[in-house]
Amino acid sequence: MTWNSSGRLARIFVVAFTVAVLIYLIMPTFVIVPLSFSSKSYLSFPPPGWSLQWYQTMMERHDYPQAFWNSIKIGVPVALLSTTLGTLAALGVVRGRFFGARPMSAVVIAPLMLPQIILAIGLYPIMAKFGLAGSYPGVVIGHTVICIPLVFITVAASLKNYHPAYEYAAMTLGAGWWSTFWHVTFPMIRVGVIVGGILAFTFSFDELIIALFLTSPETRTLPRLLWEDLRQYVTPIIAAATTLVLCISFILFGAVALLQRRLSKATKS
Amino acid sequence: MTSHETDLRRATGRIWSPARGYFVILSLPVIFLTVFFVWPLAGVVLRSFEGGEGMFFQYLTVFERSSYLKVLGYTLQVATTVTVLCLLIAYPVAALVARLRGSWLQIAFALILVPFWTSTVIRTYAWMVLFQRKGVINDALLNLGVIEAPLRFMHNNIGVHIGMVHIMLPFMLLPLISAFRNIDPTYMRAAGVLGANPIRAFWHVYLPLSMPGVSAGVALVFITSLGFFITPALLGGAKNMMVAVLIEQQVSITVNWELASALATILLLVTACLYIVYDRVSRRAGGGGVLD
Amino acid sequence: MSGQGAKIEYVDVSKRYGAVEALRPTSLTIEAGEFFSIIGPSGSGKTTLLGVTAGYVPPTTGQIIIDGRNVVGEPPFQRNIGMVFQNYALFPHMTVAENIGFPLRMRKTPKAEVAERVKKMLALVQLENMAQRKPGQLSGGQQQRIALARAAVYDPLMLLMDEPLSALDKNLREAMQDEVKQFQTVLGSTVLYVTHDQAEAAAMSDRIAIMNHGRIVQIGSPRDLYEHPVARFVASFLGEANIFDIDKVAPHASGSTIATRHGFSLVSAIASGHEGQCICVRPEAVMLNASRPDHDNVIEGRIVDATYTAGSLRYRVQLAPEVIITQRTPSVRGIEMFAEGATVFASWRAEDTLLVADD
Repeated sequence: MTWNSSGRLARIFVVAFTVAVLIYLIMPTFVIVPLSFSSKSYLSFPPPGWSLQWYQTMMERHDYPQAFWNSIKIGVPVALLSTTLGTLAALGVVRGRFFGARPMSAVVIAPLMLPQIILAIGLYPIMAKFGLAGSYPGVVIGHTVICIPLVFITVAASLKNYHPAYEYAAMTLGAGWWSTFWHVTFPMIRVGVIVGGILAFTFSFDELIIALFLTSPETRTLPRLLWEDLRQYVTPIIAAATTLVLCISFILFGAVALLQRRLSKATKS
Repeated sequence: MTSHETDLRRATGRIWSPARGYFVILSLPVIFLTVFFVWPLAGVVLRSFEGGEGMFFQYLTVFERSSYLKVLGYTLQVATTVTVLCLLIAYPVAALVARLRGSWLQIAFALILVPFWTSTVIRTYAWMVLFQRKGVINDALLNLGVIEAPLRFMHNNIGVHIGMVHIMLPFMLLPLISAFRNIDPTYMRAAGVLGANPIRAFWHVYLPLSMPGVSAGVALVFITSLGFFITPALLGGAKNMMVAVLIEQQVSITVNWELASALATILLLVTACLYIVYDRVSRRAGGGGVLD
Repeated sequence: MSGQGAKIEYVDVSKRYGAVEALRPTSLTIEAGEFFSIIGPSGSGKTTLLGVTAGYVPPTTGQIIIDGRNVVGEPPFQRNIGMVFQNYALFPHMTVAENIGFPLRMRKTPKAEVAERVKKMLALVQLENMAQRKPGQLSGGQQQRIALARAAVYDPLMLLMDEPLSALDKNLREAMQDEVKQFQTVLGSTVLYVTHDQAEAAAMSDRIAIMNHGRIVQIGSPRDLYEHPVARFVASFLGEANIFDIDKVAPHASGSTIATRHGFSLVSAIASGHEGQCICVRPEAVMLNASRPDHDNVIEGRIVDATYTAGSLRYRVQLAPEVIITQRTPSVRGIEMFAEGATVFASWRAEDTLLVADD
């Protein structure tokens, strides 16, 4: 690239533009945090004053803590179930030498790719028929369907990282199906499985549309509660709740980043 | 046992092979997804043919009522606008980020991934806060003297677009960055040596090489925007409804499941077709498909 | 720990993938304790034969009888076979000792016995102080020996090896060939060894099977295959060969005179040749002289290429417009080389004119 003054000017512009865009990406998320500590019910600069009133109010209410626990009561089983099914799917598609590997992958990934509203209005009548509408199992199943692709993608990537010869070697050495999986396959895909599980939990925790249709006021998840409150009135209690969720998300995000760093180190050896 | 008997044994399925074991392993998730994904979807499609005189009653309703057609049209328009905006914004940013190394790269990635990891509800709420009449944006604009009265961002086009571009930007940035990082800088150097000035080198070399990433990002953002619910529902109003919001409304307020199913089936068909088209096109262009 | 390996019999074993026949119906017997190699180009079916023996490729037809028992249909973990893979497949998350002990643990061997047998194996491959290392910390040659140890520690009926030395560089490879051979002799195992390197197979094997297009073309000891190839493919694959096309064969008392298509005639000690064959002459059978010698076959030619390689001189001699042969002489110290373009007489004995099928 020849350096002339207009080239340099263009480069400065691009850098400035990039910084502006990255701020645009980050800023809204962090706007919420100051608002949750604000003493007034709106956000302005300079901030009017600091107080913990919104957190207090949130704790004293019945619905927010309940919704928070519901999200966890749903998220953990979703993570476990989708991790199991997603890992099985990845093993079957990546290691089984079917000619239908691509369409198979497509079917497994489809729930994540298609608009969730379609699945939501399709699942509700079925759950109603099984008597599960509004119950925990109902929404756990609904979330599992869209979380299986997440686990599938991460575990499949782990599996593709090494040669199937390891499994064949274990089998010729005398390990059956379960022994091969437990002693050889699982240690090698462990990080992919855990990352997939965390992704599944996070997705379920933040998911709104399916929760909207498959939960009842008792099993209501946090996103659904936020949705209902946002439709009616916007108070900083919501900011307090979302700030807590942000903290949790960042912790999980950090865990995944660390694990992925370990994963890339492991595959280099 | 003769070799003929071995053939028979294979025919009755008693010869061990890894493929059979993996097939059994695969069957559990497949059954689960068939019952809880394929069956619900089939139900939606079937329900779209019910509830009225004749099989296509719901579809005729959709295409005859101008309000519904407007929603479909608006959805397409928003998806297109958002995709174009994201592409224009993300392209230079991705090109720059792709050339970063070390800690700068990690910082940039963190800044892109943080919103990616934040729930859509939270991010949309953040925009609601910013868009308030007494919110930060109006405050800043008023103080700078750019405007004289607070602007309205909520429940109109501007808010929906700004919000959706914000949500979709990481979906455009990540494929672009990944594709750009795969472009060997030697190509641009070779173009320079061969006599192309930077603009021509970009147009003839860099741009075509970036096409697989561009098409991946465009496909992802466009298709996701079509079916998007949360942001248009919170930031949009009755006059700018997207199809997913309309579907939810038909179910929860009007309780017209059949019409909602018809709209959902249309959305499903359009989405599926777009994916197939994208897969074919990208495979013909020499890259992998959606799933590689 | 040492015992005789098993005898293996293949009866009409074949493998078909859809329309492709990766292995045509093959029958073969490998004796107990034999070091048996299979060589051939890629796609010849040798890897398929190995996979069928190990059990992770189900054959389309046939039986495989190991130690008197037909194992077709049984999964690998029931066959009691040891296998060394091309990339060794040492489990990276286990130590060397855990790797070697793995098959014993799978067979529910008591811990004390596991430790003892692992120790003995490590001593056998001379890597006792590596027991607690991870495979990633070992060199290629060391990993190879551990893979061998792991495959043999549980006294399997036979050892399968899939190009185990191909990842090593040349000098190391030759040293490892001796080690592998010694290993096999000490344990008395039957070994089925697959490689694309014919020199390697020739150095290590009791017998070699050479495969092409899914079938075995010839089986024999390395010397048998080299001195009596049945087909052009075998002659060219094992070592080098000069091939001449036949026009007419005229048998007589002590052999035959063969008119080639290249404008000269050759004399062979074989009387039973026919036009469906071609002639094969080994490079080391050819002698070069500046003046015409009195030998069975003499053809005048011109040196096209003279190369000094460490160990032999290699000449390419043009005998006819479309015929260039290769000749090799050991590079004796101080030997004088022919110049390129020089006229020479290439000659060889009648018994060095081999007749092989023209496939």
